[in-house]
Amino acid sequence: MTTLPSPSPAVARAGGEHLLEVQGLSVEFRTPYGVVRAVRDVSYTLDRGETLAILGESGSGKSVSAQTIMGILESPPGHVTGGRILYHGQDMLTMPKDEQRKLRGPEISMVFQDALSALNPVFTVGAQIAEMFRAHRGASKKEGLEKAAELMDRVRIPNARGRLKDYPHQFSGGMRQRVMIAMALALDPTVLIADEPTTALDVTVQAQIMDLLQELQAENGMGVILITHDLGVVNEVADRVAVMYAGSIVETGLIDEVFSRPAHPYTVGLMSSIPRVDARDTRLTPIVGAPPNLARIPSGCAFHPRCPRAQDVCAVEAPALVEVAPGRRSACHFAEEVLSA
Amino acid sequence: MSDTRPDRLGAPVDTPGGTALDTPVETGPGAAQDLKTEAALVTGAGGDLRQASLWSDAWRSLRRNPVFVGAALLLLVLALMAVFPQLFTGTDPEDCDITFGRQGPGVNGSLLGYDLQGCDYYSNLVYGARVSMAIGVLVVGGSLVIGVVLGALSGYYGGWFDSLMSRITDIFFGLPLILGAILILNRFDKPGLLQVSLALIALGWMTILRLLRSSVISVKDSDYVQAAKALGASDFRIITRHILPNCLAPVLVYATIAIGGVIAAEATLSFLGIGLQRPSISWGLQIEGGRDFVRTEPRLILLPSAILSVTVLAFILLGDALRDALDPKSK
Amino acid sequence: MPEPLLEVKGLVKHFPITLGVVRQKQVGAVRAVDGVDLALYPQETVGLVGESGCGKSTVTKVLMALEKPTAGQVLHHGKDVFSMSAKEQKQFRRSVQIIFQDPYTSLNPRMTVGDIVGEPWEIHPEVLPKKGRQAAVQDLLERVGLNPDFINRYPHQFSGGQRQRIGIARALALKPEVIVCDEPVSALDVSVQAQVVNLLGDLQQEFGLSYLFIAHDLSVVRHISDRVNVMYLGRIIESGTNEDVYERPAHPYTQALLSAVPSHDPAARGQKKRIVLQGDLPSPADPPTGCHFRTRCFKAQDVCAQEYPPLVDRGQGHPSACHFAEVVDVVPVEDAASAPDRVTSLRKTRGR
Repeated sequence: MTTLPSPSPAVARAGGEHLLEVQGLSVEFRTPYGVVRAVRDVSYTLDRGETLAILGESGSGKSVSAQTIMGILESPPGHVTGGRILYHGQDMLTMPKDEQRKLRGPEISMVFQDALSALNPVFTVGAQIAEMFRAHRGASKKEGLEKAAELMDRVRIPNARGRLKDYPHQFSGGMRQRVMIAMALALDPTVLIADEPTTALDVTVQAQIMDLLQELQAENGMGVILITHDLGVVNEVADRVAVMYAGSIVETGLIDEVFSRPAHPYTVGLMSSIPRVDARDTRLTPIVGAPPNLARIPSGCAFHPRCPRAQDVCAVEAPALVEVAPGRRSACHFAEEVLSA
Repeated sequence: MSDTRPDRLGAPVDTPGGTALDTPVETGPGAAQDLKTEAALVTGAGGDLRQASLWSDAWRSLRRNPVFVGAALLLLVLALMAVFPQLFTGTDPEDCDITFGRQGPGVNGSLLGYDLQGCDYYSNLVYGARVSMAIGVLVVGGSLVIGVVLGALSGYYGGWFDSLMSRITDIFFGLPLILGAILILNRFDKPGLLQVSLALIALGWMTILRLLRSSVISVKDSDYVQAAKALGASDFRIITRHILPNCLAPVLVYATIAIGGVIAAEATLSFLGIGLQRPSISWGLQIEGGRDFVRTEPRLILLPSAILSVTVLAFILLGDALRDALDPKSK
Repeated sequence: MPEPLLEVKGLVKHFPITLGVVRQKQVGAVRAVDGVDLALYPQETVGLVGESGCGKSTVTKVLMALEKPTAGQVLHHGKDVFSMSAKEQKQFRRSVQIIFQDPYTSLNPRMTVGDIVGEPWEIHPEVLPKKGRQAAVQDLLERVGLNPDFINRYPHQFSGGQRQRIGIARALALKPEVIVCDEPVSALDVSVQAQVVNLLGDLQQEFGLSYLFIAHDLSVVRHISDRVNVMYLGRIIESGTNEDVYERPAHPYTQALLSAVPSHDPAARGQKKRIVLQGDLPSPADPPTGCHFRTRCFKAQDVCAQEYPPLVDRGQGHPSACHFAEVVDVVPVEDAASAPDRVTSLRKTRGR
């Protein structure tokens, strides 16, 4: 499988080198009950200033590649069985552990879904943010707290200085998410991975957090990988999207193109199965069945048991992720027909 | 699957929430599925329609646990000893001859020699298993009945009954075992197996009540209990069908371990002269009989002590293995 | 108009906050529900939307008589559920059923699917003789789209969507009039949600059911509801037909809520006026004086702090609890046919 091109016109790129490039990554979990192939030959790229959405349902493996990038893949049972993760052209998987540590935090950082469990409950948020500066920049305690206050102000926490000494549980869900974003941004990373950053939040707070992320991205030009199951969020903030199903990318391209003219039956199915708030449709068109168990992925195309277009070939041969239009790739034997439908 | 597409949504059972493998930080309700449940599906869906449940999963992992297998085999032997001691020895433990007093092994064909009174030591050890096992099972069984009934009522209804039960358990927890046993057993001039069991039940039911009460409280607000209430189910039905079956696992683990503790407690009481009295046969009495001869005849103390320790340890290991099997997260 | 099947009048539910162990002293109350009126008529679907902490789950609990209200009434065919005779209560339990949010906790893990779906008949044995139950369970399973041969399996052998179907089958067993759906699809995967939503629609047609549909997902509520109520901090702040609330929202909170829902249609992006609310939901233990929403409202005036605006029609066509209620077209109704041509031009207009 080749890597995805990054056709984002908004971003000029020199020499074809990407900020972050995942090539043919495969990850499996070896459980006592069987091998779960969570990521199968996944490739994508990320450039400065762009937002790549990784869209998938639960069990699609959408978070696993990000966990591998961050080195937080639980191992065992998780094992990387192939592929490379290039940051500025250097393979993170083969570099020494201490080199990796120098990248994670200062260069690449992550925001999780559940801020309450991602923050340490026994330290004040000020101390936790300050710790980033002390550990990586050798700042004194006082300097660290000073920086923490600045950051909390930057993520628009009201009365930031006054709240330095508060503990995580004293913040509301939305504010806690801001604290975690502040921590992730502390060392001015060039890549921010946001794993379902707003899923636990209410829709009005979700809007606040997504706005904040976009503003911060505009300020420092970082590349953002947004992992989510929410098509609406993807549509509102992403430049490009990679749709994952059963551990593989099934479709990728610019968000406007993918969402207005999907080239994979799974994307088509997703689009037509969600109700709209701006129109009252009479009946939804769901995808039949349920996502497969990653330990027992169907033969051929993993989507074929649920696909309305499936033919005999689909059960036998796994379709490659190939270019179907400029800058667009789809892993479907009948991608052309889906695209022109 | 041979057919290409399920015509009905029910057809593929290999479709778990799978969230655990996706994002460990996911807090959505679907994330409640842990890796084990996921994995149970993997095995359960292997073609045959196996009814994987908590207990059958537990049994599968227990069978492969050498500690469990070892402890269970040992306890099986001890249980056989308790029920059919004749299988292990042809000698009557009460057929004593003072002239053989404290004779060593080999004398008169005796395997482990004789005790002070000239009773065969090996057959005494074998018959001692009966008392230990009987008391262990009686006491834990009795405590289970009291603790489960009162704990379920206490946890389910709460209120004044719960407060009352909590204070009563506090009082009983405050009683030291030995002191409590002296107080109770002094009322009988010759306490036997039943009296000792009653005393140990009276001093030991509280933990089961507490354990059950707290798991009932954690289960009683779950959606399936609410669902049963919304259907108009009676309290009895809710407790017996919906709450207790989901609460018993930790209690059973504790009860298994507690059997070991009870056996040790019985031996302690008998050793101190508070519990069983001669001519009853008990490992505690055997240890007591040998205590003046630690230097000259250490076997008189070492042998019953060893079999007592091994029995207690076997129950503790069994309980530990059971806990690991029932709660995969504790591993 | 026919008599409502189920009616809630002036419902108040406060949870006391107590201090001290021995002599518990009440120091305050979480005002989870603070005066809610609702009515459900035959064969309609009423939506109740609100964000977490607005009190919608508490309304469900009281409505199902799982909790006693602090004040107010729940009327089933005009009779107060909390002062019913045992016989009337049994009838109420038969005709009002519930579907829960979380398919992983709403089924007893120690019971087989057959036992779960058949339990309603064990509790109400007069509905169906013992002999016909197994066949009836299988019929129900088939009706909700599950293989009837699965009756001896345990819940954990099923996926989330399949479990939700089992829960629906259980709710159907007694042939109820009303099913309260408490966030029935929010725990499901996107591709499975639509299956369950469609199933609920089909069952409504087939059995003449009424639904009270409680959810935080505005799109799903829009899709399924005839009438919609919007809740904020224990009170209903806007109420009307589906079109009233979604196309002519008059309360600032409803407007903000609608504007915040991200759309998955590239053509619709940037078309709506985004109202981003400031701040967080106030604590229900200490709600703001006057209008509960005023601390986050972009229209707030002095009067809002003094006077709670009653839920009435101020000329906007449907009841709205705002002193300054005014219809604003937040979400333009899109003509889907013209969408694709505009996609390319849209990209440039996106501000970043």
